[in-house]
Amino acid sequence: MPTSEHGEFEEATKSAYNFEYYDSSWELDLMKELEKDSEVVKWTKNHGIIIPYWDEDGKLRGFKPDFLTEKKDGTKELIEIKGRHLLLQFKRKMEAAESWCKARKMNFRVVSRY
Amino acid sequence: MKLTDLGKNFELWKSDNYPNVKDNTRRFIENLTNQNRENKLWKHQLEAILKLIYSYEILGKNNLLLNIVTGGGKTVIIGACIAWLKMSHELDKFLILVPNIIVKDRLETDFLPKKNENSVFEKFDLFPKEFKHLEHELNAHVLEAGGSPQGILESGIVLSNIHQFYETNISGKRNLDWFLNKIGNFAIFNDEAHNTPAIEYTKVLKMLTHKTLFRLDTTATPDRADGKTPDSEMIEYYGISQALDDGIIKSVVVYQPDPKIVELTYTNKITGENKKVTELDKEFREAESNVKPFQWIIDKEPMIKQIAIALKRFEEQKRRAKERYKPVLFIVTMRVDEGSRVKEVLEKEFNLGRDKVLLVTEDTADELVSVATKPDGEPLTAREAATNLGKIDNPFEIVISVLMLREGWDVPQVAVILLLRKFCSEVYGQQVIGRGLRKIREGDERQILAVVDHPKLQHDWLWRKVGASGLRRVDTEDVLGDEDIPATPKIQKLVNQENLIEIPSPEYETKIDFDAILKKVPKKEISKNWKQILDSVKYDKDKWVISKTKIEQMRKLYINKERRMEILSGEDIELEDFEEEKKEISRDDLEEEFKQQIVEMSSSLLFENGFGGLRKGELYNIIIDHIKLKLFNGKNLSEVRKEEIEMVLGNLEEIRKNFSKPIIQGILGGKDANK
Repeated sequence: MPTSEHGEFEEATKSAYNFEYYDSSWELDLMKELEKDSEVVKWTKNHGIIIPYWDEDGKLRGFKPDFLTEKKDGTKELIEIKGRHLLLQFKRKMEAAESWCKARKMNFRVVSRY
Repeated sequence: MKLTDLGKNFELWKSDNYPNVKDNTRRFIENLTNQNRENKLWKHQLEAILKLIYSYEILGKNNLLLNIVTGGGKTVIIGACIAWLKMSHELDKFLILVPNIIVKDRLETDFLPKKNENSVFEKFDLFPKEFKHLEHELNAHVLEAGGSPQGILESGIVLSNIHQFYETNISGKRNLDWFLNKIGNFAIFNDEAHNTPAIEYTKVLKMLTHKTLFRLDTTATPDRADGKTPDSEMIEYYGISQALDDGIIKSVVVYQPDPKIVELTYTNKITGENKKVTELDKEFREAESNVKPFQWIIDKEPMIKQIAIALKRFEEQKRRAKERYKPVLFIVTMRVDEGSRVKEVLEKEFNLGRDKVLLVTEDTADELVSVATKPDGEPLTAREAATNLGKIDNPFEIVISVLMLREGWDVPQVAVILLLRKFCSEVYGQQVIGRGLRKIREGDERQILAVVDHPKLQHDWLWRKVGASGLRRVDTEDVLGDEDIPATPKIQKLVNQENLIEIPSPEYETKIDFDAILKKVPKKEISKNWKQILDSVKYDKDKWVISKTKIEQMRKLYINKERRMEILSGEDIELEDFEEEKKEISRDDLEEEFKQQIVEMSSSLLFENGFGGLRKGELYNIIIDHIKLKLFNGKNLSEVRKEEIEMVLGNLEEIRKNFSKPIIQGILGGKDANK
């Protein structure tokens, strides 16, 4: 399980900001990975994207994916980190995010462990 | 409510220096964004105003909603919007609708300033120099109940309680008529007014629609208790966590004791049995399992301790205020009679008398009862005292209230909030915390709002909602003074522009088939068989009271980016022997009290579930029948023993809990909560 750690990642060379906030150990791990990954040229958590979706009560809500990245070839991707046990509840958000990305020729990826 | 992200086009429009706006609008924007101006607007206020201009002048949208946290300066945005519409769109009439008298009183000081005070237009120089003359055409008029409507014609701004437009009263009908037939087009500003019952609210706005050129809803909580949201389009969201990060509102620090029970007292009203069980006794475990969560804040011993904790925080906050302003302690209770009990405890156990403690009820706003005397010898009414809390010359520093007191009653001087009730609804919980989030003075001074909560109330969701999640443990001594105010958060800054990622525009419109999705949504549970369910519940006829507790440690949660938790030790509070409540009440008074309690329960149940007040009688009768069947052995109120009435009064929370939302909907019929 990820532990709830919070903090600022200050070694982000591919981000536009002086630091990036992380809210779990998984997020911190992914930040480090993105920094190492030579395919990725830019990434941030501070992207301001809110994807509208409807929850099971029929209420309109906004979903904020965790990461936005840009690769060498210019493809852009939204990444959401989720524990596997939460994936089922996450279905509505995921569908909304997929169609949102598709319309923009972007990728949507869920990173899950355990 | 529709959620709209104005997105990249809006950003481009801004960086292109606002193409395609009217000339006067350009002047208006120049004036607001001028770097040399004296009273700068906050960044999010400016952003909101620009979004309104973009939505109206470029996109042609005129039914908009801004979701902005309490304390985020909504009035200035409304003022700026009026100035812009007046300058650029030749609108001369502006109607500001509010949900209650307290919001009205507050807006009045901004739009109808007293002598020697400045209106919001003057304070923030909302009009450019060459348009200053327009300010004088914006004199405000307040529509009072039973007052003359003449001001509708003469004033630029009409400030009114939404009830002044209800068709159900004569002046409401007349006011509607004047707006529809006697004046030109207008703009409507709806400040939290959607929190009034939906049916009347929607009706008023619908009737005014064809003459409304522009409508703006401003709110901190667009979700109503009944799940209905306004029909406007939300273009800006500026929430608690963002405002906390920007330092615009106070930081929240939550205090929770970690107590255990050391003694319980058993009473059976019917048999008269009475005994004490301590943690050393064999039956303690079993006895403890009878304790309900809310007893931790209602039973006298733990309640006194919660109050003592709050008073300690209050002393700390007074020290921080350094006599520059008067901090206020705000106590929230479940029912009016609980409020009176708390007031009594403050007086008897803490020697805080009637001159310091103000009990505000639903009626206070209309009440002109005198509660104290002003320095000039004039009587001070409860309404005045409530409106002027926090002012140096107001004698009251502790205010007790039930849930009804909500929007708009936000007093920056509220320094401590003591929660003596459980919040099951996110909306209410947030609104109550919101009361104390507005900062006292602008500038960089760090300020906190201390909230005293109880872990047994399980308000975790509330703390998550305001930005707290995952708490780190730090052991520390109890530090008083300024050191324990959380540091100003580090600001995330843009440093490498070239690393910004451009978000592509959609190549086609992602049409979501909302109707199809809505059809899939399972229908809200409505208990058609409510009677059966109610008939099968059981009530305990005896009662265990928490009579002694020990606080083992205190938790202190910092609700900000740091999300830190500290453990304070040595917080247990020694209590002197307090009086057991033993009032001899006459039979008549007891019956009266009983009826009042049920009336109050009926109206708050209707309110919380989004029904209007019209069906109170119906619900009242059903609750009475339920009590008769389950607790009075089928007898009528006049036939039962005094002890049996007392037993019901001790069981009110349980009864209330059984009248859950599906049950209420079942009783009052079907899906449309407003019929």
